[in-house]
Amino acid sequence: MTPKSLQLEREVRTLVLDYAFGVSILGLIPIRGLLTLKLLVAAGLILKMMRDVGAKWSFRKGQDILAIFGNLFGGIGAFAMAFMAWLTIFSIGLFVPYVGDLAVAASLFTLTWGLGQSTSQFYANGRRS
Amino acid sequence: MLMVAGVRESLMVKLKRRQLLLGGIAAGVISSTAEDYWTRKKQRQHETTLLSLAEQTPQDTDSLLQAAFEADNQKIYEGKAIQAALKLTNPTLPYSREMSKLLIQCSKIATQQYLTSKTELSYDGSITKLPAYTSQLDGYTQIASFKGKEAKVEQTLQVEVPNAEVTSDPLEQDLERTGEAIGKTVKESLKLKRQIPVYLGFILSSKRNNIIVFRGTQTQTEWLNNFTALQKNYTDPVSGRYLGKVHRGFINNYLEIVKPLPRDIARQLDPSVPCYITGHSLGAALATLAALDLALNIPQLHPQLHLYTYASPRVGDPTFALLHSQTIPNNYRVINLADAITLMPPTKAVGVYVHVGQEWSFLSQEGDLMPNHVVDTYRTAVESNVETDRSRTYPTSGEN
Repeated sequence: MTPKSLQLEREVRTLVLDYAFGVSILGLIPIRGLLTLKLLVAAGLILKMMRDVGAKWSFRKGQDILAIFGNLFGGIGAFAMAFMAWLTIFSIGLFVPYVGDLAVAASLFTLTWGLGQSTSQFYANGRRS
Repeated sequence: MLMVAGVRESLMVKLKRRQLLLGGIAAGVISSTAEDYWTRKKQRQHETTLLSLAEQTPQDTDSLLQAAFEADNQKIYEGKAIQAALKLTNPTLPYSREMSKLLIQCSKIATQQYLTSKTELSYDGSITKLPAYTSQLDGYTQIASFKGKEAKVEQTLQVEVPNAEVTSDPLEQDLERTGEAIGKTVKESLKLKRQIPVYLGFILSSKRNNIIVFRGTQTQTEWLNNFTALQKNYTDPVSGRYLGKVHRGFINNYLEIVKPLPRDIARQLDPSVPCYITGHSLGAALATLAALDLALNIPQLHPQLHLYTYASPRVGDPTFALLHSQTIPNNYRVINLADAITLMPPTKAVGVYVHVGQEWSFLSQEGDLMPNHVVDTYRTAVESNVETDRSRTYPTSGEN
């Protein structure tokens, strides 16, 4: 891997982490009845993140079948991990007061991080122009 | 120099953005925790207010207690009230002790026929070879045996898990323990189910009368022990007429009889002589269902039908019981007062269950559920002529 690629990967990682922090803040807004709106905003932010990640990799094309399926299963895995994160924090919250309040935020963080990594991996596997 | 300044500037922007985001998260955590704290506090205050209000409210404890006791009593005797409110048709003919002795013997034979067919695959269903068969039945011809669709027999397969030598590697130990756990689970769950044909009863014919017998079981009473005995709407398969609600397990058992169908073979019987339908335990429930089935679908046989059941559980709801007693008035239900199975399912559980038939009871306390229930206990009592339809006053010492 070239130093340029390494630098690019580091930048993408920072970008994804920042988006994950930003999206998880949505889950911490203590106003009831806004979950749908929060999720819509989160979806919008995640889509923008995926576009930004693509832009970082100059929207490389020519991914092989493994990269396509890797991206597909990576996306499904991100949702599964997000659910598990919610379940874990929620379960802890049943025994430890106030921890349960972080369940949605943890879930959104995990989802954003997972989708960001999967997208980055997909574009990294493309051909350089 | 310019490049270094650019990188530094970009780093500063990133840091500011990251700091802003982390600050946002911190603010979010604090605000959501604070909101949760206030919600909990308000809830506690609300509970305290309600508690103090409840304590301050003047209460008429005596009338409340009275109402609680009455409600409790009502609940306990609800089933008794349901049974008492049910006006079943009385038999038009007296109970025949002589026939009862023969019919309980037939019930014993049906149990043996069923057990023999489960163990001896080549068994042809003939009752003459069975130990309970006696010369009293020599005048009868066995015209058919009811064959069941299937019987599920479970066999556990042994799975060998190799015993490895003890290892010092902790990870390997964990892996082996996991393997052992999986092995044990597989051992317990790997069961084979095979289906074998079984006999579920038989029909005897003679010049004096005909007898239709349904098998019971000596040991498999789990179908009765289920307090959540679900009911199923019972409609006449031929006319589609609604006959009330019946125990799902019993009707499924009855519908398992595939060859020949009781109503098909009963059409061949002489309608000028009495036709006795009988069974013990589960067989009693099947006999109850069969009697109604035959009465509704074979009109010429209807006036000749007599139902004698032994150790019968409750089969259906009041609608079914009323229709049944009007259709089959000559219905006698012989029970051991110490047999808990005859009290199952409870009158009021998931649905409402009531008994059908005139009760003829005796008391034979053998000290446990199954000895009180088995066909031999009933046979001994019937042979001794101790069953009676007189009402008893309780409590009693149980002495003669």
